[in-house]
Amino acid sequence: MVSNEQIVNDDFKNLFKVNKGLWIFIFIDFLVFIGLLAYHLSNGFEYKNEFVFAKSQLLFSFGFFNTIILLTSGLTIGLSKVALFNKNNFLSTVFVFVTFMFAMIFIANRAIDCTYLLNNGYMFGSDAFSNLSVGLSSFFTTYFLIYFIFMIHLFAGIVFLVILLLNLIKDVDEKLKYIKLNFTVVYWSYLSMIWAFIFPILFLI
Amino acid sequence: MVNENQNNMNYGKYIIAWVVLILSAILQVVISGISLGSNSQFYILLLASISAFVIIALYMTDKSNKLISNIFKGIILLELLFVIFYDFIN
Repeated sequence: MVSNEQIVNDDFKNLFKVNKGLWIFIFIDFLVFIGLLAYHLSNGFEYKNEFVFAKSQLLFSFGFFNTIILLTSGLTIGLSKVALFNKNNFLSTVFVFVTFMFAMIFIANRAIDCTYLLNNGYMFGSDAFSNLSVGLSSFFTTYFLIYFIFMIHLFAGIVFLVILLLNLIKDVDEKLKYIKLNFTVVYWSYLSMIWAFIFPILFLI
Repeated sequence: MVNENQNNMNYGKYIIAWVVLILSAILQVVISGISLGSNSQFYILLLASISAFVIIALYMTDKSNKLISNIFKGIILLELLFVIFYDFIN
């Protein structure tokens, strides 16, 4: 016979249920990212001097600022989970909105970074790009590829945030709010985790 | 719906984790600026792996699919070990 305590525990667990599909996606996607980053690292060993020069051409401060932005957005989405769990729906909505604004700042920051590289002829696909040495073109190809894939993930995350915001504002079932919020928290944290590898490998090593 | 005794989530651990992650990022930048040879790469990757593990352990929780989330944590742990033995492999 199932005890009352067991029922409460099951309810508690179900509040934080994440779709298995998300875990499978994260599992496969993580391997793709790690593969790309490992490829970038191995190219770095082969074209060491050119990679050092290429890194000096990047806007490091923008990369570092983006790291701070993304880590802080991870904090705010985490705090929204705590707020909702403590039955403070308004505060939870505010935290999700702040996360959304951080995502917008990240994109704006990235747009400035890309424009700078484009003006310097390092943008993948530009005419000046074809005149670059093998090492430099290798660096910027993987650099933009990793960044481009990451941005697709970020845009998907923004869609999740908007859906979550609408659900928090609307008077929907409380349980549904928990599930959607936890889904978004896991996905957004995954982005932070990936960035924890992207930043040092693209900008520091 | 939720047992009040279990309703004890607080903001503290998230803020502490955020401070750790920010410090880790700053430390990575500092290490990259110091001439430590090939060791700097090892320390930077080690810090990145620790940051990733903090994020997974704290944020990516799934109480109903503990097996899957634990497998994922295990993979990151393996990667962490790989980074630790990076110097020996090369």
